[in-house]
Amino acid sequence: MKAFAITTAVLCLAGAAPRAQAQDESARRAAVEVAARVPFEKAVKGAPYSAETSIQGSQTLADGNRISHRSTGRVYRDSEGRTRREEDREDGSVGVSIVDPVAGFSYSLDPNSRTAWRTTLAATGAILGKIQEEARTAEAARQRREGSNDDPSARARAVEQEKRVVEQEKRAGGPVTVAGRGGAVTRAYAITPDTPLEHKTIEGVAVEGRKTTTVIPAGQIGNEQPLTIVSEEWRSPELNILVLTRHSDPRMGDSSYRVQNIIRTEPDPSLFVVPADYTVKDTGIRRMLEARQPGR
Amino acid sequence: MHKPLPSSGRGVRPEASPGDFVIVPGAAALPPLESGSLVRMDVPVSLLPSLGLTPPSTTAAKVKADLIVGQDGLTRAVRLVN
Repeated sequence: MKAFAITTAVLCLAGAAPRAQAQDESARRAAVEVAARVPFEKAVKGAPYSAETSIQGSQTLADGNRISHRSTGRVYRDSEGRTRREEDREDGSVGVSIVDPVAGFSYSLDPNSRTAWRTTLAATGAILGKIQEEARTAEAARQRREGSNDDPSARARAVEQEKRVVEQEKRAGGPVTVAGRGGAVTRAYAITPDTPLEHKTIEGVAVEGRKTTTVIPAGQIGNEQPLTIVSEEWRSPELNILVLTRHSDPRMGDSSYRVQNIIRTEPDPSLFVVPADYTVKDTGIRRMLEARQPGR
Repeated sequence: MHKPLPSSGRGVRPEASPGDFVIVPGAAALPPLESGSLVRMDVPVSLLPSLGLTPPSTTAAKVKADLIVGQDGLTRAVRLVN
């Protein structure tokens, strides 16, 4: 468990800490996961599937050194929306999490202690709701900058204006001032509105794609040159899952998430049941910590 | 089927309250969060500013933090624990 946990921890922090990379590298490696994880999953009914997953990332450091990582796993979802995810660990074992929206619980299985750590979905749902609310707020702010989506002509004007501003900022090497309803305003980040990508088929399923480009002008965060961040996502409307995402940020490196070898049949029901030889412990994350302390 | 729950495990209040999480810098530009995990970690204090957190007044080198990690392994939000 620990080898996987540390690997995951470094991966997490690599993604979370875009700034001051060189000096933080040792700190990232020093971060250690100290408790079992609590899984969460968006519940989707009526679209069962099984697939393999892979996460890849790479980052080139200032000295030319390159850090790459890759992890693999599997995902299963039944018609009721129960989901099982498996992650291949470096030590050869497999981490398993089960999210059961029918019963209202998620489980993180610890094969070493044969323990299934159980958490109510209400607990994780509240946290997820908070994160999604923050994301919606950011999206709403972005749309306000772009113009109203309800008015195609206004949106088109906003798109054109955005393109012009991005070009101006590239030429100027910094933020430019544009006219707004409340007077002239200085732009912070230049975000190119979502660009729909041509529909295509990936792994045998039809997907819809979109691409978002964000430019952080020079000087905004102490950067000498503008920073361009590109995010691309391909979603299957039928399965309601992301099949492929790519993210490129000069501060974080490149990363991708891919779902492959998709099989659209009902998975084995036993995959969504805690094994009989496991003891289920219904605890919060704090009690997981306490249970792992010596002498308890 | 799994073993029955211990009676002491019932009615435990969730420890993870939603109010304390903050979105990490750059997370707004990441792909949508559709699944993931809450992970508790010992995080070096020196790393907190890059996560968008103000380091607490402590002499400890590490602090406990909960991270929300998405399906792609990238962190979306973080909070300090105590």
